[in-house]
Amino acid sequence: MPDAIWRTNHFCSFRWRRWGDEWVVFDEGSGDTYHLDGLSAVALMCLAAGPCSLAELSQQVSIETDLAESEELSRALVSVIDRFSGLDLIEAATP
Amino acid sequence: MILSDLSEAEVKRRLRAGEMVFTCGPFTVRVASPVQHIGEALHLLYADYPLSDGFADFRLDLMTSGGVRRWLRPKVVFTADGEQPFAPFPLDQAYPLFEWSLNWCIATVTHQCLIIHAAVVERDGRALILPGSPGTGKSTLAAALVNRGWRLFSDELTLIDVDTGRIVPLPRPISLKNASIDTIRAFAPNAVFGRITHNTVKGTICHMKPATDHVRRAYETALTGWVVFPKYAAGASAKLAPRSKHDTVLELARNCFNYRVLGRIGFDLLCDALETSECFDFEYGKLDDAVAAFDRVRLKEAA
Repeated sequence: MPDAIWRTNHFCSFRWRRWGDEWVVFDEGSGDTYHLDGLSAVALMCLAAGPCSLAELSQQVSIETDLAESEELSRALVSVIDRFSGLDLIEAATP
Repeated sequence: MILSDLSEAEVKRRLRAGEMVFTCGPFTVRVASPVQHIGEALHLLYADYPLSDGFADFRLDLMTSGGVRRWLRPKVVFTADGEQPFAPFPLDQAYPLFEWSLNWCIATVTHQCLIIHAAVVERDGRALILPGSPGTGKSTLAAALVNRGWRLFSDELTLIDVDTGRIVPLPRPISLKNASIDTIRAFAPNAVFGRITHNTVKGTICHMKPATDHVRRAYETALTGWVVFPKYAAGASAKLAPRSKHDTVLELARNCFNYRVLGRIGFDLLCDALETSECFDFEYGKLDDAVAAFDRVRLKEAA
C-alpha cells in the first residue's frame, strides 16, 4: 500500500457541502451521500484533483491544512484510504 | 366549483363513471370506483377541494374483485395505468387504500419535486418538516399542530420544488392510527373525522379532514424553517435537542423517494433547505407540551 498510487474511481463525480468542520459529499456516479470529517474531505479533494501516493497525499493534505506531516498523519490517511477504497470512491491506479 | 358543491349521490355517480376529477395541491387526480364508502369519504374529507375537468396527473382505479370471491370475501383492487402495485385489500379498507394509492402515484411518478417521507406544517411562511419512521408520531404531531395555528402541508409527503427550492403544500386528510385517533379526537374535538377502519396493515386507521383554509391556500409555498425528528415516548417531557446538519442531510436522503433519481439536484435541494433551517431531535409525551415547544422555537427565531 505505501507504494500504491491512488485515484478517484473513474465513475465518481463529487458535489460538496460544508457545515463547520463537517462535510457532506454526494457522489453523482453512485448516487450515494457521505459524511466526512475535515481530514477525509481534504484527502478526497486532493485525490479528486489527481492520482497520488500516500506520501504525496500526506504532503498535499499538510499543505491544505494546519497539520504537519507526521507518522500520525500518515496512519490517519491510511485509514481514510481504506475507507474510501471500501466505498469504491477510490482505486489503486494501474501502471 | 368545489367537491362539496356536489351531492354525495353525484360524487358516487362520478366515481362509478370515472369522472371524479379534483385538484389536490399541485396535482389533479382522477378516481374511478364503484365502492360506496370511497364516495362517502371523498364527499366528507375532500369537500373543499376544487373540481377539475381537465387533464389529470394520475388516474386511480379502485375496483371490486370479480368472481365468487366478491360474495365471500369482497376485495378492492387498485390499478394505475394498468399497473397493480398492491395485492387486493378487503373491501372495507377501500378508502385507506385510496389514500395509500394516491401516495404511491405521487411518490413513484413525480420528479418535479424532491419527495421526502415526512409530515410538514407551516407558520409565518416557514415550513416545519417532521420526518420519521412509522410509529414516531409525525402524523399525530402534525394533526395537533394544525389544530393550534399551524397550516397543514402534508402528513406524509414533503415536496421540495426543483425549480424554486420551496416547500409545496399537498394538504390531504391526515391518517391517524391506533391510539392517536382517540388522542387527536380529545385534543381537537371540533375536527372532522372519517369512518374508522380496523385491521389494516397499519392497524386501525381514521382520517382527519384538513381545514378549509388550508386547502384553499394550497398554492402558498414556504421556505424550510425547521427539520425536527420526532419521537413519542409516553410520559416524556418535551425536549428539543439540536441536531447536526450533516447528519440531517443523510437521514433526509434516506427518507426520500426520488433522491437518487434527481441526483445532484436532489442533493443540492436538501442542502439548500438546511441552509435556512434549524435541525432538532424531539422527544415528547404530551401534545400540548409539543405544540408549546414548537411555538417557543418559532417565537425565539422571530425575535
